Amino acid sequence: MNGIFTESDMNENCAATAMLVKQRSEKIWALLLPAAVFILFAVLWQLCTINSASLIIPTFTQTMAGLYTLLFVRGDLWLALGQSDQALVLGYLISVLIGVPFGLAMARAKWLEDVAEPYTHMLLAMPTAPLIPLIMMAFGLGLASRVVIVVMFTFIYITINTRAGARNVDKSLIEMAKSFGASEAQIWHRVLIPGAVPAILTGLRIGLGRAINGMVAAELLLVASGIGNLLLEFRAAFEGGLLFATVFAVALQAVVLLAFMRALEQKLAPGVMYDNKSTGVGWAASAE
Amino acid sequence: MTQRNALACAAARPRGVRQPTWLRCSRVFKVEYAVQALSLAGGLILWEILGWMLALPWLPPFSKVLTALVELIRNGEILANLMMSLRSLAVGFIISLVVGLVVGVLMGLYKRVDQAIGIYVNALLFTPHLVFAPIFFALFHLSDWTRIAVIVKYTVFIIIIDTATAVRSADPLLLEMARSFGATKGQIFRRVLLPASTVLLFAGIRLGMGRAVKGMITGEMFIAFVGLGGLVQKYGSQFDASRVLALTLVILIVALVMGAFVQTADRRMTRWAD
Repeated sequence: MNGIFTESDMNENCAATAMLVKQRSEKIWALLLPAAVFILFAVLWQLCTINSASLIIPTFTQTMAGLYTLLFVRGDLWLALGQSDQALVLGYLISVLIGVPFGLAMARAKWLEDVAEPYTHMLLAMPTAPLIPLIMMAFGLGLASRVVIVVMFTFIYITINTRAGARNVDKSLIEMAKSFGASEAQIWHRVLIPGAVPAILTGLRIGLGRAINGMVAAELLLVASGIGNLLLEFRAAFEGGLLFATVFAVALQAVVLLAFMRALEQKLAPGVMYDNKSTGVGWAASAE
Repeated sequence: MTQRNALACAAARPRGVRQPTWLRCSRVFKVEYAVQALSLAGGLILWEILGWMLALPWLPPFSKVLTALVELIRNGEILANLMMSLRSLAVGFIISLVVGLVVGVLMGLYKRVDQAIGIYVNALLFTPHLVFAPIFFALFHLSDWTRIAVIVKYTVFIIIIDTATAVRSADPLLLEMARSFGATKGQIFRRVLLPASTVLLFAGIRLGMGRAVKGMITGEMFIAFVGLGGLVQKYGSQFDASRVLALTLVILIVALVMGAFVQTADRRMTRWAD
Protein backbone atom coordinates (compact mmCIF):
# COMPACT_ATOMS: atom_id res chain seq x y z
CA MET A 1 0.00 0.00 0.00
CA ASN A 2 2.71 2.49 -0.83
CA GLY A 3 0.97 4.27 -3.61
CA ILE A 4 1.60 1.61 -6.19
CA PHE A 5 -1.43 -0.24 -7.45
CA THR A 6 -0.66 -3.58 -8.89
CA GLU A 7 -2.85 -5.01 -11.54
CA SER A 8 -4.36 -7.51 -9.16
CA ASP A 9 -5.33 -4.70 -6.76
CA MET A 10 -7.10 -2.95 -9.58
CA ASN A 11 -8.91 -6.09 -10.53
CA GLU A 12 -9.95 -6.68 -6.96
CA ASN A 13 -11.21 -3.13 -6.67
CA CYS A 14 -13.17 -3.40 -9.85
CA ALA A 15 -14.60 -6.72 -8.80
CA ALA A 16 -15.63 -5.33 -5.43
CA THR A 17 -17.32 -2.33 -7.00
CA ALA A 18 -19.05 -4.54 -9.51
CA MET A 19 -20.27 -6.74 -6.65
CA LEU A 20 -21.60 -3.72 -4.79
CA VAL A 21 -23.41 -2.43 -7.85
CA LYS A 22 -24.80 -5.84 -8.46
CA GLN A 23 -25.97 -6.23 -4.89
CA ARG A 24 -27.65 -2.87 -4.97
CA SER A 25 -29.41 -3.61 -8.22
CA GLU A 26 -30.52 -6.95 -6.78
CA LYS A 27 -32.07 -5.13 -3.83
CA ILE A 28 -33.88 -2.78 -6.15
CA TRP A 29 -35.22 -5.70 -8.17
CA ALA A 30 -36.35 -7.45 -5.01
CA LEU A 31 -38.37 -4.37 -4.04
CA LEU A 32 -39.54 -3.36 -7.47
CA LEU A 33 -40.82 -6.67 -8.77
CA PRO A 34 -43.24 -7.49 -5.91
CA ALA A 35 -44.52 -3.91 -6.01
CA ALA A 36 -45.09 -4.20 -9.75
CA VAL A 37 -46.97 -7.47 -9.27
CA PHE A 38 -49.15 -5.88 -6.61
CA ILE A 39 -49.98 -2.90 -8.81
CA LEU A 40 -50.73 -5.18 -11.75
CA PHE A 41 -53.02 -7.27 -9.56
CA ALA A 42 -54.82 -4.20 -8.23
CA VAL A 43 -55.31 -2.71 -11.69
CA LEU A 44 -56.59 -5.99 -13.13
CA TRP A 45 -58.98 -6.41 -10.20
CA GLN A 46 -60.22 -2.87 -10.67
CA LEU A 47 -60.71 -3.30 -14.42
CA CYS A 48 -62.51 -6.62 -14.02
CA THR A 49 -64.96 -5.39 -11.42
CA ILE A 50 -65.54 -1.74 -12.25
CA ASN A 51 -68.34 -2.48 -14.69
CA SER A 52 -69.72 -5.53 -12.95
CA ALA A 53 -73.26 -5.35 -11.68
CA SER A 54 -72.57 -7.70 -8.77
CA LEU A 55 -73.36 -6.21 -5.40
CA ILE A 56 -71.11 -8.52 -3.45
CA ILE A 57 -67.92 -8.31 -5.53
CA PRO A 58 -66.20 -5.01 -4.79
CA THR A 59 -63.56 -3.18 -6.76
CA PHE A 60 -60.05 -2.89 -5.40
CA THR A 61 -60.57 0.68 -4.28
CA GLN A 62 -63.82 -0.22 -2.54
CA THR A 63 -61.99 -2.94 -0.63
CA MET A 64 -59.22 -0.59 0.45
CA ALA A 65 -61.77 2.04 1.44
CA GLY A 66 -63.59 -0.67 3.40
CA LEU A 67 -60.41 -1.59 5.20
CA TYR A 68 -59.85 2.04 6.12
CA THR A 69 -63.41 2.38 7.38
CA LEU A 70 -63.19 -0.79 9.45
CA LEU A 71 -59.89 0.11 11.02
CA PHE A 72 -60.14 3.84 11.60
CA VAL A 73 -63.74 5.01 11.21
CA ARG A 74 -66.03 2.34 12.58
CA GLY A 75 -63.29 0.53 14.43
CA ASP A 76 -65.34 -2.63 14.90
CA LEU A 77 -62.66 -4.71 13.23
CA TRP A 78 -60.47 -4.31 16.32
CA LEU A 79 -63.29 -5.46 18.53
CA ALA A 80 -64.06 -8.45 16.34
CA LEU A 81 -60.42 -9.46 16.05
CA GLY A 82 -60.04 -9.13 19.81
CA GLN A 83 -63.01 -11.37 20.40
CA SER A 84 -61.87 -14.02 17.92
CA ASP A 85 -58.32 -13.91 19.17
CA GLN A 86 -59.37 -14.80 22.72
CA ALA A 87 -59.95 -18.35 21.52
CA LEU A 88 -56.74 -18.23 19.52
CA VAL A 89 -54.57 -17.16 22.47
CA LEU A 90 -56.11 -19.51 25.03
CA GLY A 91 -56.22 -22.48 22.66
CA TYR A 92 -52.65 -21.89 21.51
CA LEU A 93 -51.30 -21.69 25.06
CA ILE A 94 -53.09 -24.89 26.05
CA SER A 95 -51.76 -26.61 22.94
CA VAL A 96 -48.21 -25.60 23.81
CA LEU A 97 -48.64 -26.83 27.38
CA ILE A 98 -49.91 -30.19 26.12
CA GLY A 99 -47.82 -30.57 22.98
CA VAL A 100 -44.29 -29.82 24.16
CA PRO A 101 -44.18 -32.13 27.25
CA PHE A 102 -45.99 -34.87 25.37
CA GLY A 103 -43.57 -34.68 22.44
CA LEU A 104 -40.55 -34.79 24.76
CA ALA A 105 -41.98 -37.74 26.68
CA MET A 106 -42.60 -39.62 23.44
CA ALA A 107 -39.01 -39.10 22.39
CA ARG A 108 -37.77 -40.44 25.75
CA ALA A 109 -40.10 -43.42 26.16
CA LYS A 110 -40.37 -45.79 23.24
CA TRP A 111 -43.44 -47.57 24.61
CA LEU A 112 -45.33 -44.29 24.88
CA GLU A 113 -44.48 -43.47 21.30
CA ASP A 114 -45.68 -46.87 20.12
CA VAL A 115 -48.90 -46.60 22.09
CA ALA A 116 -49.60 -43.12 20.75
CA GLU A 117 -48.46 -43.84 17.20
CA PRO A 118 -51.83 -44.93 15.70
CA TYR A 119 -53.49 -41.87 17.18
CA THR A 120 -50.83 -39.36 16.15
CA HIS A 121 -50.94 -40.79 12.66
CA MET A 122 -54.72 -40.49 12.56
CA LEU A 123 -54.77 -36.98 13.97
CA LEU A 124 -52.23 -35.85 11.39
CA ALA A 125 -53.98 -37.41 8.42
CA MET A 126 -57.52 -36.53 9.35
CA PRO A 127 -59.27 -33.22 8.80
CA THR A 128 -60.21 -31.77 12.18
CA ALA A 129 -63.33 -29.95 11.00
CA PRO A 130 -65.76 -32.94 11.22
CA LEU A 131 -65.18 -33.02 14.97
CA ILE A 132 -66.59 -29.50 15.33
CA PRO A 133 -70.24 -30.64 15.72
CA LEU A 134 -69.19 -33.04 18.49
CA ILE A 135 -67.23 -30.32 20.27
CA MET A 136 -70.31 -28.13 20.06
CA MET A 137 -72.41 -30.88 21.65
CA ALA A 138 -69.87 -31.28 24.42
CA PHE A 139 -69.00 -27.67 25.18
CA GLY A 140 -71.86 -25.57 23.85
CA LEU A 141 -71.60 -22.52 21.67
CA GLY A 142 -69.38 -20.35 23.82
CA LEU A 143 -65.72 -19.55 24.18
CA ALA A 144 -64.94 -23.03 25.57
CA SER A 145 -65.92 -24.69 22.30
CA ARG A 146 -63.80 -22.35 20.25
CA VAL A 147 -60.81 -22.90 22.52
CA VAL A 148 -61.19 -26.68 22.26
CA ILE A 149 -61.39 -26.46 18.48
CA VAL A 150 -58.17 -24.44 18.36
CA VAL A 151 -56.50 -27.03 20.60
CA MET A 152 -57.70 -29.90 18.39
CA PHE A 153 -56.28 -28.16 15.35
CA THR A 154 -52.96 -27.32 16.96
CA PHE A 155 -51.50 -29.56 19.64
CA ILE A 156 -50.56 -32.53 17.46
CA TYR A 157 -48.32 -30.40 15.25
CA ILE A 158 -46.46 -29.04 18.25
CA THR A 159 -46.17 -32.57 19.65
CA ILE A 160 -44.64 -34.19 16.61
CA ASN A 161 -42.23 -31.34 15.91
CA THR A 162 -41.04 -31.47 19.50
CA ARG A 163 -40.70 -35.24 19.22
CA ALA A 164 -38.70 -34.91 16.02
CA GLY A 165 -36.37 -32.41 17.67
CA ALA A 166 -35.90 -34.40 20.85
CA ARG A 167 -35.24 -37.54 18.82
CA ASN A 168 -32.49 -35.73 17.00
CA VAL A 169 -30.70 -34.94 20.25
CA ASP A 170 -27.46 -36.86 20.23
CA LYS A 171 -28.02 -40.17 22.00
CA SER A 172 -24.45 -40.24 23.26
CA LEU A 173 -25.04 -36.98 25.15
CA ILE A 174 -27.91 -38.59 27.01
CA GLU A 175 -25.81 -41.69 27.65
CA MET A 176 -23.02 -39.56 29.01
CA ALA A 177 -25.33 -37.58 31.27
CA LYS A 178 -26.70 -40.87 32.57
CA SER A 179 -23.28 -42.33 33.23
CA PHE A 180 -22.38 -39.21 35.19
CA GLY A 181 -25.37 -39.94 37.37
CA ALA A 182 -27.90 -37.44 36.00
CA SER A 183 -31.47 -38.01 37.07
CA GLU A 184 -34.27 -38.18 34.50
CA ALA A 185 -35.29 -34.63 35.46
CA GLN A 186 -31.73 -33.43 34.92
CA ILE A 187 -31.53 -35.17 31.56
CA TRP A 188 -34.67 -33.35 30.46
CA HIS A 189 -33.56 -30.02 31.80
CA ARG A 190 -29.93 -30.05 30.70
CA VAL A 191 -29.86 -32.20 27.57
CA LEU A 192 -33.22 -32.97 26.04
CA ILE A 193 -34.93 -29.58 26.14
CA PRO A 194 -31.92 -27.46 25.10
CA GLY A 195 -31.24 -29.84 22.23
CA ALA A 196 -34.81 -29.80 21.05
CA VAL A 197 -35.29 -26.02 21.18
CA PRO A 198 -34.91 -25.31 17.45
CA ALA A 199 -37.45 -27.98 16.53
CA ILE A 200 -39.78 -26.87 19.32
CA LEU A 201 -39.66 -23.33 17.93
CA THR A 202 -40.52 -24.63 14.47
CA GLY A 203 -43.36 -26.58 16.03
CA LEU A 204 -44.59 -23.46 17.77
CA ARG A 205 -44.62 -21.57 14.49
CA ILE A 206 -46.41 -24.29 12.56
CA GLY A 207 -48.73 -24.70 15.52
CA LEU A 208 -49.57 -21.01 15.44
CA GLY A 209 -50.52 -21.30 11.79
CA ARG A 210 -52.77 -24.22 12.63
CA ALA A 211 -54.25 -22.36 15.58
CA ILE A 212 -55.24 -19.46 13.34
CA ASN A 213 -56.84 -21.93 10.95
CA GLY A 214 -58.71 -23.46 13.88
CA MET A 215 -59.87 -20.07 15.07
CA VAL A 216 -61.26 -19.25 11.63
CA ALA A 217 -62.88 -22.68 11.28
CA ALA A 218 -64.57 -22.24 14.65
CA GLU A 219 -65.86 -18.84 13.56
CA LEU A 220 -67.15 -19.97 10.18
CA LEU A 221 -68.32 -23.52 10.90
CA LEU A 222 -69.53 -23.43 14.47
CA VAL A 223 -70.80 -20.13 15.68
CA ALA A 224 -70.24 -16.69 14.34
CA SER A 225 -68.62 -14.43 16.88
CA GLY A 226 -66.07 -11.74 16.27
CA ILE A 227 -64.73 -12.08 12.75
CA GLY A 228 -67.28 -14.69 11.73
CA ASN A 229 -70.02 -12.36 12.85
CA LEU A 230 -68.66 -9.49 10.79
CA LEU A 231 -68.33 -11.69 7.70
CA LEU A 232 -71.93 -12.89 7.98
CA GLU A 233 -73.21 -9.39 8.64
CA PHE A 234 -71.45 -7.88 5.64
CA ARG A 235 -72.51 -10.73 3.40
CA ALA A 236 -76.13 -10.32 4.38
CA ALA A 237 -75.96 -6.56 3.86
CA PHE A 238 -74.19 -6.94 0.46
CA GLU A 239 -71.29 -4.86 1.76
CA GLY A 240 -68.76 -6.42 -0.61
CA GLY A 241 -66.03 -3.91 0.19
CA LEU A 242 -66.27 -4.49 3.91
CA LEU A 243 -66.53 -8.27 3.46
CA PHE A 244 -63.35 -8.48 1.39
CA ALA A 245 -61.62 -6.03 3.71
CA THR A 246 -62.37 -8.24 6.73
CA VAL A 247 -60.94 -11.30 4.97
CA PHE A 248 -57.90 -9.23 4.03
CA ALA A 249 -57.44 -8.09 7.63
CA VAL A 250 -57.59 -11.65 9.03
CA ALA A 251 -55.09 -12.83 6.42
CA LEU A 252 -52.83 -9.88 7.21
CA GLN A 253 -52.94 -10.63 10.93
CA ALA A 254 -51.87 -14.21 10.24
CA VAL A 255 -48.98 -13.12 8.04
CA VAL A 256 -47.75 -10.62 10.63
CA LEU A 257 -47.97 -13.12 13.51
CA LEU A 258 -46.16 -15.82 11.57
CA ALA A 259 -43.47 -13.44 10.36
CA PHE A 260 -42.92 -12.51 14.01
CA MET A 261 -42.62 -16.18 14.97
CA ARG A 262 -40.13 -16.77 12.18
CA ALA A 263 -38.03 -13.83 13.31
CA LEU A 264 -38.12 -15.17 16.87
CA GLU A 265 -37.05 -18.57 15.63
CA GLN A 266 -34.12 -17.12 13.73
CA LYS A 267 -33.03 -15.08 16.72
CA LEU A 268 -33.23 -17.88 19.27
CA ALA A 269 -31.96 -20.69 17.08
CA PRO A 270 -30.02 -19.06 14.28
CA GLY A 271 -29.00 -21.23 11.42
CA VAL A 272 -31.09 -24.19 12.42
CA MET A 273 -34.22 -23.88 10.37
CA TYR A 274 -36.02 -27.12 10.75
CA ASP A 275 -37.88 -26.66 7.51
CA ASN A 276 -34.98 -28.54 6.11
CA LYS A 277 -36.33 -30.75 3.43
CA SER A 278 -33.15 -32.64 2.89
CA THR A 279 -33.41 -34.12 6.36
CA GLY A 280 -37.17 -34.31 6.25
CA VAL A 281 -37.28 -33.45 9.93
CA GLY A 282 -39.75 -30.79 10.82
CA TRP A 283 -40.90 -30.37 7.27
CA ALA A 284 -42.51 -33.77 7.09
CA ALA A 285 -43.89 -32.97 10.49
CA SER A 286 -45.50 -29.84 9.16
CA ALA A 287 -47.65 -31.92 6.85
CA GLU A 288 -50.96 -30.33 7.46
CA MET B 1 -39.72 -45.14 13.32
CA THR B 2 -39.94 -48.39 11.44
CA GLN B 3 -37.52 -46.94 8.97
CA ARG B 4 -35.05 -46.26 11.69
CA ASN B 5 -35.21 -49.84 12.86
CA ALA B 6 -34.89 -51.13 9.36
CA LEU B 7 -31.78 -49.03 8.95
CA ALA B 8 -30.32 -50.25 12.21
CA CYS B 9 -30.96 -53.83 11.21
CA ALA B 10 -29.59 -53.34 7.74
CA ALA B 11 -26.39 -52.07 9.31
CA ALA B 12 -26.15 -55.06 11.62
CA ARG B 13 -26.63 -57.62 8.87
CA PRO B 14 -23.54 -58.69 6.96
CA ARG B 15 -23.46 -57.38 3.44
CA GLY B 16 -24.49 -59.58 0.60
CA VAL B 17 -26.84 -61.72 2.63
CA ARG B 18 -30.16 -60.92 1.08
CA GLN B 19 -33.45 -61.93 2.50
CA PRO B 20 -36.98 -61.08 1.44
CA THR B 21 -38.01 -57.74 2.89
CA TRP B 22 -40.67 -59.15 5.17
CA LEU B 23 -38.18 -61.48 6.83
CA ARG B 24 -35.64 -58.82 7.66
CA CYS B 25 -35.83 -57.81 11.29
CA SER B 26 -39.25 -59.35 11.55
CA ARG B 27 -39.02 -59.53 15.32
CA VAL B 28 -38.60 -55.79 15.79
CA PHE B 29 -41.46 -55.11 13.44
CA LYS B 30 -43.70 -57.53 15.27
CA VAL B 31 -43.16 -56.01 18.69
CA GLU B 32 -43.73 -52.50 17.43
CA TYR B 33 -46.79 -53.36 15.38
CA ALA B 34 -48.17 -55.46 18.19
CA VAL B 35 -47.93 -52.55 20.62
CA GLN B 36 -49.60 -50.26 18.11
CA ALA B 37 -52.37 -52.72 17.32
CA LEU B 38 -52.95 -53.33 21.03
CA SER B 39 -53.07 -49.60 21.62
CA LEU B 40 -55.64 -49.17 18.89
CA ALA B 41 -57.75 -52.09 20.12
CA GLY B 42 -57.47 -50.83 23.69
CA GLY B 43 -58.61 -47.41 22.59
CA LEU B 44 -61.65 -48.84 20.84
CA ILE B 45 -62.61 -50.97 23.84
CA LEU B 46 -62.18 -48.01 26.17
CA TRP B 47 -64.34 -45.93 23.85
CA GLU B 48 -67.05 -48.63 23.88
CA ILE B 49 -67.02 -48.95 27.68
CA LEU B 50 -66.92 -45.20 28.32
CA GLY B 51 -69.66 -44.71 25.75
CA TRP B 52 -72.02 -47.04 27.62
CA MET B 53 -70.98 -45.96 31.10
CA LEU B 54 -71.01 -42.19 30.70
CA ALA B 55 -73.88 -42.12 28.19
CA LEU B 56 -72.78 -38.68 26.99
CA PRO B 57 -74.71 -37.37 24.01
CA TRP B 58 -71.50 -36.54 22.16
CA LEU B 59 -69.72 -39.83 22.88
CA PRO B 60 -71.85 -42.70 21.63
CA PRO B 61 -70.26 -46.15 22.02
CA PHE B 62 -68.24 -47.42 19.08
CA SER B 63 -70.78 -50.14 18.28
CA LYS B 64 -73.48 -47.52 17.77
CA VAL B 65 -71.18 -45.61 15.46
CA LEU B 66 -70.64 -48.76 13.41
CA THR B 67 -74.41 -49.36 13.25
CA ALA B 68 -74.88 -45.80 12.04
CA LEU B 69 -72.14 -46.33 9.49
CA VAL B 70 -73.77 -49.48 8.10
CA GLU B 71 -77.09 -47.70 7.94
CA LEU B 72 -75.60 -44.71 6.10
CA ILE B 73 -73.90 -47.04 3.63
CA ARG B 74 -77.13 -49.04 3.13
CA ASN B 75 -79.32 -46.04 2.36
CA GLY B 76 -76.75 -44.82 -0.13
CA GLU B 77 -76.17 -41.45 1.47
CA ILE B 78 -72.46 -42.00 1.93
CA LEU B 79 -71.83 -43.32 -1.56
CA ALA B 80 -73.66 -40.48 -3.32
CA ASN B 81 -71.93 -37.79 -1.28
CA LEU B 82 -68.57 -39.51 -1.38
CA MET B 83 -68.71 -39.39 -5.17
CA MET B 84 -69.52 -35.67 -5.07
CA SER B 85 -66.64 -35.06 -2.68
CA LEU B 86 -64.13 -37.11 -4.63
CA ARG B 87 -65.07 -35.44 -7.89
CA SER B 88 -64.38 -31.97 -6.55
CA LEU B 89 -61.24 -33.30 -4.84
CA ALA B 90 -59.97 -34.67 -8.16
CA VAL B 91 -60.66 -31.42 -10.04
CA GLY B 92 -59.22 -29.27 -7.27
CA PHE B 93 -56.14 -31.41 -6.86
CA ILE B 94 -55.40 -31.60 -10.57
CA ILE B 95 -55.73 -27.82 -10.93
CA SER B 96 -53.42 -27.35 -7.94
CA LEU B 97 -50.95 -29.86 -9.32
CA VAL B 98 -50.74 -28.26 -12.77
CA VAL B 99 -50.60 -24.69 -11.49
CA GLY B 100 -48.30 -25.65 -8.63
CA LEU B 101 -45.79 -27.48 -10.81
CA VAL B 102 -45.70 -24.82 -13.53
CA VAL B 103 -45.39 -21.86 -11.18
CA GLY B 104 -43.03 -23.76 -8.88
CA VAL B 105 -40.70 -24.71 -11.72
CA LEU B 106 -40.69 -21.12 -13.00
CA MET B 107 -39.93 -19.86 -9.50
CA GLY B 108 -37.17 -22.40 -9.09
CA LEU B 109 -35.57 -21.70 -12.45
CA TYR B 110 -35.84 -17.92 -12.69
CA LYS B 111 -34.75 -15.69 -9.87
CA ARG B 112 -36.84 -12.78 -11.13
CA VAL B 113 -40.04 -14.80 -10.95
CA ASP B 114 -39.14 -15.84 -7.42
CA GLN B 115 -38.50 -12.22 -6.44
CA ALA B 116 -41.74 -11.08 -8.01
CA ILE B 117 -44.21 -13.54 -6.52
CA GLY B 118 -42.27 -15.38 -3.80
CA ILE B 119 -43.49 -13.26 -0.92
CA TYR B 120 -47.12 -13.50 -2.04
CA VAL B 121 -46.96 -17.28 -2.37
CA ASN B 122 -45.42 -17.55 1.09
CA ALA B 123 -47.95 -15.17 2.57
CA LEU B 124 -50.86 -17.08 1.04
CA LEU B 125 -49.42 -20.35 2.29
CA PHE B 126 -49.56 -19.07 5.83
CA THR B 127 -52.90 -17.28 5.79
CA PRO B 128 -55.85 -19.23 7.20
CA HIS B 129 -57.47 -21.00 4.27
CA LEU B 130 -61.10 -21.06 5.23
CA VAL B 131 -61.33 -17.30 5.70
CA PHE B 132 -61.27 -17.02 1.91
CA ALA B 133 -64.37 -19.18 1.61
CA PRO B 134 -66.75 -16.19 1.84
CA ILE B 135 -64.87 -14.59 -1.05
CA PHE B 136 -65.09 -17.76 -3.15
CA PHE B 137 -68.74 -17.95 -2.25
CA ALA B 138 -69.25 -14.39 -3.47
CA LEU B 139 -67.50 -15.25 -6.73
CA PHE B 140 -68.95 -18.68 -7.49
CA HIS B 141 -72.11 -18.88 -5.35
CA LEU B 142 -73.37 -22.41 -4.73
CA SER B 143 -71.67 -23.98 -7.74
CA ASP B 144 -69.03 -26.68 -7.45
CA TRP B 145 -66.36 -24.09 -8.10
CA THR B 146 -66.66 -22.64 -4.61
CA ARG B 147 -65.62 -25.95 -3.08
CA ILE B 148 -62.98 -26.53 -5.73
CA ALA B 149 -61.54 -23.06 -5.08
CA VAL B 150 -61.28 -23.84 -1.37
CA ILE B 151 -59.42 -27.06 -2.20
CA VAL B 152 -57.05 -25.18 -4.50
CA LYS B 153 -56.41 -22.54 -1.81
CA TYR B 154 -55.48 -25.31 0.63
CA THR B 155 -53.30 -27.20 -1.84
CA VAL B 156 -51.60 -25.11 -4.47
CA PHE B 157 -49.21 -22.99 -2.42
CA ILE B 158 -47.46 -25.85 -0.66
CA ILE B 159 -46.95 -27.53 -4.04
CA ILE B 160 -45.54 -24.32 -5.55
CA ILE B 161 -43.08 -23.80 -2.73
CA ASP B 162 -41.90 -27.39 -2.54
CA THR B 163 -41.54 -27.58 -6.32
CA ALA B 164 -39.44 -24.42 -6.38
CA THR B 165 -37.25 -25.79 -3.58
CA ALA B 166 -36.96 -29.11 -5.39
CA VAL B 167 -35.85 -27.48 -8.64
CA ARG B 168 -33.38 -25.25 -6.82
CA SER B 169 -31.91 -28.18 -4.94
CA ALA B 170 -30.63 -29.90 -8.08
CA ASP B 171 -26.91 -30.51 -7.84
CA PRO B 172 -25.08 -27.62 -9.58
CA LEU B 173 -22.29 -30.00 -10.58
CA LEU B 174 -24.73 -32.08 -12.57
CA LEU B 175 -26.07 -28.99 -14.29
CA GLU B 176 -22.53 -27.83 -15.04
CA MET B 177 -21.64 -31.17 -16.55
CA ALA B 178 -24.76 -31.28 -18.69
CA ARG B 179 -23.98 -27.79 -19.93
CA SER B 180 -20.38 -28.59 -20.70
CA PHE B 181 -21.49 -31.56 -22.73
CA GLY B 182 -23.60 -29.18 -24.77
CA ALA B 183 -27.06 -29.99 -23.51
CA THR B 184 -29.77 -27.54 -24.52
CA LYS B 185 -31.98 -25.84 -21.94
CA GLY B 186 -34.82 -28.21 -22.69
CA GLN B 187 -32.56 -31.21 -22.38
CA ILE B 188 -31.14 -30.02 -19.08
CA PHE B 189 -34.63 -29.53 -17.77
CA ARG B 190 -35.93 -32.92 -18.89
CA ARG B 191 -32.85 -35.04 -18.31
CA VAL B 192 -31.23 -33.44 -15.28
CA LEU B 193 -33.47 -31.07 -13.35
CA LEU B 194 -36.65 -33.10 -13.43
CA PRO B 195 -35.15 -36.45 -12.37
CA ALA B 196 -32.96 -34.78 -9.75
CA SER B 197 -35.90 -33.08 -8.12
CA THR B 198 -38.57 -35.81 -8.22
CA VAL B 199 -37.96 -36.97 -4.65
CA LEU B 200 -38.49 -33.52 -3.17
CA LEU B 201 -41.25 -32.83 -5.67
CA PHE B 202 -43.25 -35.71 -4.32
CA ALA B 203 -42.79 -34.48 -0.78
CA GLY B 204 -44.73 -31.39 -1.84
CA ILE B 205 -47.35 -33.40 -3.69
CA ARG B 206 -47.89 -35.61 -0.65
CA LEU B 207 -48.35 -32.61 1.61
CA GLY B 208 -50.64 -31.12 -1.02
CA MET B 209 -52.86 -34.19 -1.08
CA GLY B 210 -53.22 -34.17 2.70
CA ARG B 211 -54.25 -30.54 2.54
CA ALA B 212 -56.58 -31.13 -0.39
CA VAL B 213 -58.62 -33.65 1.62
CA LYS B 214 -58.83 -31.17 4.47
CA GLY B 215 -59.87 -28.42 2.11
CA MET B 216 -62.51 -30.66 0.59
CA ILE B 217 -64.15 -31.45 3.93
CA THR B 218 -63.85 -27.96 5.37
CA GLY B 219 -65.16 -26.32 2.21
CA GLU B 220 -68.12 -28.66 2.13
CA MET B 221 -68.85 -27.98 5.76
CA PHE B 222 -68.81 -24.28 5.03
CA ILE B 223 -71.23 -24.62 2.11
CA ALA B 224 -73.20 -27.16 4.23
CA PHE B 225 -74.99 -28.45 1.18
CA VAL B 226 -73.27 -31.36 -0.52
CA GLY B 227 -70.55 -33.93 -0.05
CA LEU B 228 -69.34 -35.67 3.08
CA GLY B 229 -68.76 -32.33 4.80
CA GLY B 230 -72.32 -31.31 4.00
CA LEU B 231 -73.56 -34.55 5.58
CA VAL B 232 -71.49 -33.86 8.69
CA GLN B 233 -73.09 -30.44 9.03
CA LYS B 234 -76.56 -31.89 8.44
CA TYR B 235 -76.27 -34.53 11.17
CA GLY B 236 -74.30 -32.19 13.40
CA SER B 237 -77.17 -29.75 13.41
CA GLN B 238 -79.47 -32.65 14.37
CA PHE B 239 -77.12 -33.49 17.28
CA ASP B 240 -76.70 -36.99 15.86
CA ALA B 241 -73.25 -37.82 17.24
CA SER B 242 -73.23 -41.45 16.02
CA ARG B 243 -73.67 -40.41 12.43
CA VAL B 244 -71.15 -37.58 12.71
CA LEU B 245 -68.60 -40.04 14.07
CA ALA B 246 -69.48 -42.60 11.40
CA LEU B 247 -68.84 -39.93 8.77
CA THR B 248 -65.61 -38.98 10.51
CA LEU B 249 -64.47 -42.59 10.14
CA VAL B 250 -65.27 -42.49 6.42
CA ILE B 251 -63.37 -39.21 6.07
CA LEU B 252 -60.40 -40.68 7.93
CA ILE B 253 -60.38 -43.63 5.53
CA VAL B 254 -60.58 -41.31 2.53
CA ALA B 255 -57.64 -39.31 3.90
CA LEU B 256 -55.55 -42.43 4.51
CA VAL B 257 -56.37 -43.95 1.11
CA MET B 258 -55.49 -40.72 -0.69
CA GLY B 259 -52.22 -40.54 1.24
CA ALA B 260 -51.40 -44.13 0.32
CA PHE B 261 -52.28 -43.42 -3.31
CA VAL B 262 -49.78 -40.57 -3.55
CA GLN B 263 -47.19 -42.60 -1.70
CA THR B 264 -47.53 -45.48 -4.17
CA ALA B 265 -47.10 -43.09 -7.07
CA ASP B 266 -44.09 -41.64 -5.28
CA ARG B 267 -42.49 -45.06 -4.79
CA ARG B 268 -43.02 -46.00 -8.40
CA MET B 269 -41.49 -42.84 -9.75
CA THR B 270 -38.59 -42.51 -7.35
CA ARG B 271 -37.66 -46.16 -6.95
CA TRP B 272 -34.21 -45.49 -8.35
CA ALA B 273 -33.46 -43.06 -5.52
CA ASP B 274 -33.52 -45.65 -2.73
